[in-house]
Amino acid sequence: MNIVIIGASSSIARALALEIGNEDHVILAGRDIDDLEDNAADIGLRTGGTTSIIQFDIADRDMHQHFLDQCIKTLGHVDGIFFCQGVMIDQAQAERDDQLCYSMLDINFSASVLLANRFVQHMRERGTGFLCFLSSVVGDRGRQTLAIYNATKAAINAYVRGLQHRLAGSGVHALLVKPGFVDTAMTWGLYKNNILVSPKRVADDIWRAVRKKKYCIYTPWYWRSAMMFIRGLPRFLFHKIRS
Amino acid sequence: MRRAARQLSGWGRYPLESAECLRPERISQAEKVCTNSHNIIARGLGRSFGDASLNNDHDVLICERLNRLCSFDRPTGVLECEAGVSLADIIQFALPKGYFLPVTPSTPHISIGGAIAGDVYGCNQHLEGSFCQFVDKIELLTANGRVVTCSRERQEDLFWATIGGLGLTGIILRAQIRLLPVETAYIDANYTKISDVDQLFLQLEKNQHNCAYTMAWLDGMAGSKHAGRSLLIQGDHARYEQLTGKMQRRPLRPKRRRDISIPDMWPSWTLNSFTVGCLNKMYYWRHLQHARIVKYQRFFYPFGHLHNWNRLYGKKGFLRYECVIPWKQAATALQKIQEFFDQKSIPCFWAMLKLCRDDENQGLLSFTRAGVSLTFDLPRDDELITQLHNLNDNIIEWDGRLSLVSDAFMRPSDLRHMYPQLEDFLELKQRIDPQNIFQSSLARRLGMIPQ
Ligand SMILES: Cc1cc2nc3c(=O)[nH]c(=O)nc-3n(C[C@H](O)[C@H](O)[C@H](O)COP(=O)(O)OP(=O)(O)OC[C@H]3O[C@@H](n4cnc5c(N)ncnc54)[C@H](O)[C@@H]3O)c2cc1C
Ligand SMILES: NC(=O)c1ccc[n+]([C@@H]2O[C@H](COP(=O)([O-])OP(=O)(O)OC[C@H]3O[C@@H](n4cnc5c(N)ncnc54)[C@H](OP(=O)(O)O)[C@@H]3O)[C@@H](O)[C@H]2O)c1
Repeated sequence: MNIVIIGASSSIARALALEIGNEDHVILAGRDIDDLEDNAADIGLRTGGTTSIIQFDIADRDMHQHFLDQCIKTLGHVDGIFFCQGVMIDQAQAERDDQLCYSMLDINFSASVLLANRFVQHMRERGTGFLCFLSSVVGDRGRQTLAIYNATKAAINAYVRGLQHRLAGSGVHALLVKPGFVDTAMTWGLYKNNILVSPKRVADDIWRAVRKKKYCIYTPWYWRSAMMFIRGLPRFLFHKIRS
Repeated sequence: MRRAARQLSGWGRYPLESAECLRPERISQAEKVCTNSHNIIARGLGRSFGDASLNNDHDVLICERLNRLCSFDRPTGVLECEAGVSLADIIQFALPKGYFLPVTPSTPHISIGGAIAGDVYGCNQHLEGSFCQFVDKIELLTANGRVVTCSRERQEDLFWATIGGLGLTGIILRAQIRLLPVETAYIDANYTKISDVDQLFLQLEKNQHNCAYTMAWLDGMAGSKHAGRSLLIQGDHARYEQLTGKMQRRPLRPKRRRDISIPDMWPSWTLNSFTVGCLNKMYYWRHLQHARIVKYQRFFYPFGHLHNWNRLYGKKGFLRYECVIPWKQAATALQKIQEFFDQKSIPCFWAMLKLCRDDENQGLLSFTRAGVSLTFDLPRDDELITQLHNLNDNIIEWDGRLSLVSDAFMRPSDLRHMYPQLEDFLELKQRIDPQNIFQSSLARRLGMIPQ
């Protein structure tokens, strides 16, 4: 399979690329070209598959078409794309700084949609392919600590649900992934150690879901019931828990 | 980079200290640490037993995510990788290609950085030397923020100080090592039961050059009466013809054992002199006195599938008493040490013996020297440390030394007596790191850093 990973420096993305087998060709796309080179060497050695890298900033809209062209030039065609990029900016900071706030909205949501449009088009023409979006459990119900970040994830949820409806029967598949708290740079130092799971565990679940053509997964699985409970909490209770 | 406040300890669970932890995900982030930290130590996978990778109330740089393989030359077996790659990763990667670690400690869950900074050794030390013999090149981040490549030819003083240097010369970012070609993942092993010290040393002397690997498991609970009751374990890498049916089908990919994890709340009373005494007897009697082909995991890492076995010791943890004693004194030392534990009724739950040689080229603070290394795991109680201090005096008398990566209790004077090249090391450290940016709890405890 020919696969593109956006935000390939993220440790979830790295773990994902290692899951993918040795017959596949993977493009690692991201901003830090040095790191992408290191990752590509590592992944190539460990899986025995082919890896290529493309420097790409998803916030740079003018490059989207060029990026798709580059992918097609390298791979011939694209079978799947993972959106692993994301930023999480502290709520207080995002409230103060318009620029930062907007960049988070853009990178996590708008830019993903714009890029997805082009890849959907490409895949529909071939009648096959998949898109996988990394949302988050926190998108299920916004909370005070990261209200804006949560909103970007909720937006992705709504978008992917709609996209799945639109793509039904077309052969193209969209997968929504809602990870719980994962032990990555994003969460380092913010949460208690015992609620974090390893990127490998999450990547395992994601890759299995892709193969089984699932529509929406929580990873690890127990977050599904946890979030059902949290969504069901009446407002007066929910607002009491404000830590 | 964000810091995370954590409680950290070594594998012995003592001491437990707080630290501000940084965890770079990529080399470029690690390279910047000297600009925003003035007191830091590198930490790999935390398998050193005491405080070598702790830095009380200061910064600790956790290298576990710097774990990319960089290049591998299949014909020669030369591997270049980042410092956080674990030996287990390397085996998983290289064994199917017909390569194994040239030197392996009794756990594969340590990082390359830790293997170099602790100059680890295995049960082939007396023939092949320690890990450093197979390290060709180190990329080191030094105190001035620059990355220096050192090797036997370039910056060799820095190279030999970094080997066994406990992270005090800088942060190892990448290293190049040479792997050992093997035909199979199996070991042609040989277990011999031994009942006393004299017989043990006789056998060791006679057989030490027969096999690639030699070690002895000691019954630590045998007491002074049965001191030296042990199992001599020897082995060679099995050749393909030696394998039988099922093994021959997958000579380089043996099935992995299921991992077992010990829960954090494990009650420590379950591990007592009685239960361990029984376990030791079982271990001793179970091994038949003949040769057989075993998986490499079974030979090198008998407890490798038991994750967090250190939790068996409970919250108080344990101390590892690891010393190397010159050949001439070794038999006496073993007898005396077991008598000492017996007298003071210190239970010893695990004990091993390995053989060592002197190397011409060694790290300034490398542990091994010609003789016999003895390792004892002792559950910690409040008096144990003072009791061990008495034993340290004997070790110095026998011209032996204690391992620094295992240490949590030595005194500054012990260090000076045991490591004659300490002054050279400190002089070099002063030169390359005058502000002592790289320091650890161990370095402060042992007076390597002026307070
Ligand atoms: C079950 C068990 C069996 C063992 N058997 C043996 C054995 O047979 N022989 C043997 O020699 N040892 C043995 N050890 C000890 C172990 O191999 C060493 O303590 C090793 O250094 C641990 O590596 P680590 O990656 O866990 O490092 P840590 O424990 O995290 O650190 C050890 C030292 O290395 C330094 N360090 C780590 N990473 C870096 C880096 N990137 N740059 C610079 N400095 C760094 C730290 O500062 C510290 O001083 C054993 C340990 C265990 C738990
Ligand atoms: N960690 C968690 O607990 C958790 C939970 C739920 C969901 N998620 C989601 O999982 C995804 C991966 O997160 P992570 O935890 O692995 O975080 P991470 O390590 O911070 O990774 C985020 C990645 O996104 C890349 N990126 C940021 N902006 C970009 C842009 N404009 N163009 C291209 N790439 C860009 C970053 O690349 P640079 O190297 O250029 O910075 C970085 O590699 C995110 O979408 C996150 O929201 C994480």
